[in-house]
This record gives sequence, structure tokens and C-alpha cells, in this order.
Amino acid sequence: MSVSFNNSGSTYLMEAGLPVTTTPLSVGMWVRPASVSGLFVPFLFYASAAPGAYQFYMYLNGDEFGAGAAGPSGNPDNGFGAAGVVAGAWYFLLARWISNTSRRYAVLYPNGTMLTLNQPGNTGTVTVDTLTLGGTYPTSPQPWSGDIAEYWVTSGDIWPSGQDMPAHTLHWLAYNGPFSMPHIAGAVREYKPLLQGGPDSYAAWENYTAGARPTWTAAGPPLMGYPHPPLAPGYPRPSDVRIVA
Amino acid sequence: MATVVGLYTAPISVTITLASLASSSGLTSGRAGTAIDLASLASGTVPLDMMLAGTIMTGTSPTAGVIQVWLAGSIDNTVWSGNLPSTNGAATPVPIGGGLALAATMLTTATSNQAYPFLTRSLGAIFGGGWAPRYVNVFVTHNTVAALNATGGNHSISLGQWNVAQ
Repeated sequence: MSVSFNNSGSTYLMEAGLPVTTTPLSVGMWVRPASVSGLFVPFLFYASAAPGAYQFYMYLNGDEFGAGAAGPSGNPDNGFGAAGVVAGAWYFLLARWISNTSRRYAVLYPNGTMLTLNQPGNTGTVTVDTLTLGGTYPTSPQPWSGDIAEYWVTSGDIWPSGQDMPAHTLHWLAYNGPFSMPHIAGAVREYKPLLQGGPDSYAAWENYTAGARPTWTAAGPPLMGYPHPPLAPGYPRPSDVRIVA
Repeated sequence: MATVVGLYTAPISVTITLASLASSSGLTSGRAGTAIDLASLASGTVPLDMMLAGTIMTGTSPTAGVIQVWLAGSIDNTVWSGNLPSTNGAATPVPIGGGLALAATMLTTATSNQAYPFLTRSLGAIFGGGWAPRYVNVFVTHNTVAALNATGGNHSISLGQWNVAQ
């Protein structure tokens, strides 16, 4: 299953004490929008002392995905330039915040189509300390409406910085997971499959964290969502593989 | 009482010519090896599990990029996933993502003639079913712009085997 967020602004998962706080970092997750009318944010990294000023995020604006980052030198923010996202289908998101001046994003559509977004523009140094899954920061909620599964974050970029990951590799990563690719497995700093809703959504046994145990708060809490995206047989979990930190 | 023991048998070298392999910007074309029949190995036994290991060396003045090792499978040595050829030669599998299994990805630097060793997961795990098909083959591609190192001996891919015996 997955975890469902109800667009209420009071249902989200929040993590303090992040294992990765600045660039370069890469994030992957599956999302299933329940609506394509409005502005919905599946996840946001931010600095708790100035949440509007330091951010990494992706969003769904109507039926188009977008992404951005905010820092002292700017707030590059773009849509993917292609609409057609439909409610009720699973999409895999990959975000690579590579440096102050380079970001690359990708979305894998249910039909196998890949969209990419290359986002230059200077943010200055962005340092974050909090992650919200299912929305933005509580004082300015733009909550997610739908489901999220298989969240993970790496320290470092997972692909050469000047290149987009090819569709065939993104497809493999989405359906087989970060622990199926040894060069990514060793860089994963947190993995949260979000197999259940309710209080178990932040149960320790669901998490892999390379550093200290994360502090998760479940507001709402989010409930059990729709069936998990269709992953490949043998999708390795953290316990299945060697972790080279 | 019979005792069952684990047994590592000698690795099998994969026949694949990687010297001077040209770059493929989209990681779509590269080189196929010669297929291995897991039921006809020199050891005379069918391995219970296997891993691929090897080293691939970039060429002169490459750009930072990627080297990938993919696996193809067949149950009859006729129809291959990804339509990969079963003999050592140039290949452009179709479709690479839908038919092949990704075994290793190495992020490379701009350093010339740099060796990149790799060790994969279990072949059974990579194929997703806990066991490998009878015939397996490898496909190597890269996008480092410069052709791979021109000396054949600087590249190698081997199949490590594990079995049990009593």
C-alpha cells in the first residue's frame, strides 16, 4: 500500500534532523495525484528558521509537474512544459539538486514516457533542516492530494551532473529501486517505503537511515493509501543488499 | 551422514571485445558478449547462484560519464531479451529498458585510462525471480565520448559461481 494525504493542510509527515541538508542531493519517490486541479506539493525540504527562503521542492500545478529551489540568490522554479498528468495514476519523480546553479528533474509517466527539466539559475547556498511529505510547511500549507510511496534521498548526485538520466535507466530505477543499483545504494541516506498509513507510517522498521535515527512526526495522521505502484519482482529493500556508506 | 558444503568454482570469463568500444550518447548501443549456457559450464554443474565481476577501462581524454553493464537472458538461446545478439559483437538492444536487466552502473571521471572495477548483485536477484535463465549474456555501453581503452587486456568480465556439493 501507500500513504494517502487528503489535501487538508493538517495531514502530513514531517522529518526533523535530516540526513542530507544541502546540495548535492537526489530524491526519488512515487506519487499518485488524486486531483489535477490546483497546486499540490508532494514534498518540500526547508529551513525551519526561514521556511520560505530556503527550499527544495517539486509540485503539481494543474496537470503539469514543476520543481524548484529557493535560496539567498534566487528562486528558480519551472514547470516541465508538458501537461497531461491524470488523477489516479502513479508517477515516479526524480529530483537532483546538484549545485547552487544546477538542478535536473525527471518524471516517469505511467506509459513509460519520461519528461526532464534542466534548471539552471543561481540560488546561492541552500541549507535545509526539515522535510515535509504531503505538503509544505505548516504555516503556509499547499498540501498534497493523493498518495506517496517509496521515498528515498541520497547524498551526492546519482548521475553525471551535466546529463539527464536516460529513460531506460530511470525506468529501471523507478521499478527496481535505489538498492538495485549498487552505485546508488551506497549513497542512500534515507529510505522510507511508506507501506502503510496511520501511526505505522513512521514506524522505525519501515525506515533505513544511514545516520542517526530520524525524527518523524505524523500529523493527521495520513491514512493508508491506494495500492502501491507496481514494482518489479525482487525489488530489493535495504536489508537485502550490502550498504557501503 | 553426508555433509553438504558450499562450493565456489572457478570463474568463467565472458567473451566480449571491449577494446576501443565507441561511446553512445544515449547509452543505447554498445557491445554484446558471447552467451553463456549455464547448463554447460566446464565445472559440469549448474550453479545455484552467480555474480558478475570485472573491470572496464576508459580511454584517452574521456568526459565524465557512465559505463553500464546490462544482462540479457534466454531460455532457448534463440529468443533473447532485448533482442540482444548471442555472439560477441556490436549491439543495439531493442528495447534496452524493457528487455534487459541492469547489472552495474559506474559513474566515470575525465581521467584518462582509468579502470572501473565492478561487482554485481546475484544474477538471480537482478533477474528478479531468484534464479537466472539458462542462457545469459552481457551488454556493455558507455557515454564517455572517448572510445574505451584500446588494449583488450585492460578489460575483463567474469562470472563467479556458487554451488553446493556433498
